[in-house]
Amino acid sequence: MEGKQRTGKRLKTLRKNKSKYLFVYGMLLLPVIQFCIFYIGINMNSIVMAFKEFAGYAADGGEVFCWSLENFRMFFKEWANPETSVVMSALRNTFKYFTAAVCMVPLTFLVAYFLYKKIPGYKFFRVLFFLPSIVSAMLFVTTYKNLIGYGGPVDLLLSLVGGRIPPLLTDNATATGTIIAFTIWTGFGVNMILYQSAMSRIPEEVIEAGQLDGVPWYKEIVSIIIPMVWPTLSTTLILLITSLFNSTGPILLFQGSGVEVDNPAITTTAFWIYRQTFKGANLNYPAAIGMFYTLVSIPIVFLVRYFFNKIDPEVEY
Amino acid sequence: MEKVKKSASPAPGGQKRNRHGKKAGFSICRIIVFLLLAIYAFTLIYAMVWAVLSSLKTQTEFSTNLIGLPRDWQFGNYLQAFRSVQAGGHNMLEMFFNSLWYSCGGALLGVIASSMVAYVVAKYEFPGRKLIYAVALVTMMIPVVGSFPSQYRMYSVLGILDSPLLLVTKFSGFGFNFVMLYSFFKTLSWTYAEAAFMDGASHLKVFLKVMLPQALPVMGSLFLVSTVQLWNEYMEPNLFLQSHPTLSSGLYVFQLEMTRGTNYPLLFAGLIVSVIPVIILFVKFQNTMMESMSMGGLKG
Repeated sequence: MEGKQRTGKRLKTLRKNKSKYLFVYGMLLLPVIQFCIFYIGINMNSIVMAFKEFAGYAADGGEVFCWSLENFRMFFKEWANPETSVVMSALRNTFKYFTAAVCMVPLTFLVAYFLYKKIPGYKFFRVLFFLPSIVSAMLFVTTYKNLIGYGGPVDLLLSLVGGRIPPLLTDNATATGTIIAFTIWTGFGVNMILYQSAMSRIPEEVIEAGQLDGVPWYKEIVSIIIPMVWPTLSTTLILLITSLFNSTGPILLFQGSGVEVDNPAITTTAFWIYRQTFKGANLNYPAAIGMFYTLVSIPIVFLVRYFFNKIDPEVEY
Repeated sequence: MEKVKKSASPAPGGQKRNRHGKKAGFSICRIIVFLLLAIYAFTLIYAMVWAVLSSLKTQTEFSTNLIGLPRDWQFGNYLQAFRSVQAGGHNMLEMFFNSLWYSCGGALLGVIASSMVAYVVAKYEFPGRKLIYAVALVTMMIPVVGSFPSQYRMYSVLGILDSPLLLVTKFSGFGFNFVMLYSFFKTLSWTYAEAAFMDGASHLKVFLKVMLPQALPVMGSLFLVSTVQLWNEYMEPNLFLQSHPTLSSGLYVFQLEMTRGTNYPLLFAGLIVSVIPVIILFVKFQNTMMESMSMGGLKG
């Protein structure tokens, strides 16, 4: 009798578990298949493409690829000619965008601090500075191009002091700097909100204690605010470093009116790969370059994470 | 003794002065920062107003009167934009429709997939749970550089290139949406689910009827943010959806296709039309969007 009861219970549990597992794996099935194809599949294919080169056409007209290290050979040859190579120029520009993004962190942090300190009009500034993050980049780029163009408002202002605006976007020396200036002009939004909401979570008593001790504002930032919001700050820095080789601006949208986006003086690594794909000439070479930079950035990202976790004061409030 | 008294007495006053000095210093700083921010705010407002005014000029006036107010306010440019703005033979209405299915469809699929994965990983114990959680986190950390060539070839092989079927790529259960929904479901009480199980409800019924309704506000804000991001996305549609231009990619193509001088007033009218839905959403859900987008910037 007891045995029968125990078997019945076990059967019931089994049936219950069966329906549970059916539900769980049923829920996971499609997303996991999607992940296998569109994440693992695509990245594995990138690796395979990196080690293959075009070998000709088959009898049915299809392209034939063979295993090769040619893509990497080509890539390292580019390193030997840093002045003339497009890939090297793209890398240099990528670092320029990255540097600008790093410089934006303290600037955004300061803006967030003063908004947190309820500077006059802080609510309005907060919304306004955030707007470029949600409004189509095409609208801002087209406007920016006209504002800094010949005959535009900036040109008019300069003409008042006897100057004229140079062709900033068509001159190789200034083109990248001008696009970077655009990314700075429109780039406060997201991180500003992030820092400000982290600051607003700091207990009022901590700030008041500092004020009673007569701590000046710059010391308040360094000694109170930064340690208290360090987890947020470090995460944004880690994310920035994670996207080191993907650093770029809306270069594509600057095309037209004399601006040629395939110009080596303008392009960045991520954008160059995008354009090569768009033109569809040789997909294997950009795939190899993408794979190389991914491999380089993985240890950097994990080292930075490790380093930041080490210095993280782990504030709890 | 007196000397000691003299040297001791000024201290509090000195501290006060010092504090006043610091306060004054901060006030000066506040004024300087306010002025700088006001100038920056002015440039943003000026740019937006300038774009609106430009959309109301004739093409000739745009080139002769780039800065001033329109002499004749051409409100008809907005109607004209719907008729004349074309990208690859597609007019603005078609682009608008493409933007709609691409952004809303993509966002909806993403939120549905991640809610399914996040729910089971947060609420059930099963073999492989830790692996899925680890994979979700690690893939967010790996900085993949330039996977466009591989994506292009894969999409081409799968037959989803240049087709609305491309939306399957948005059915992603991992990433930022997963992290947000996982933490939500993790903290969500299991009591209601247990009561429903006692009443004989199935796992699916509990998910759909008990747990999911509670997650709708979070899912709604994630959907909103993804929709806006996809609405503004131009690189992917420009590469993978060339026969289905969205407003963002189509207006870029329109500008390129105008070989003999771009009709800027029409282009600006089109751009402003493309921005209106986002502005409406922003006005209605300002705080939700700002909070969720900043979290997206942090986690994503």
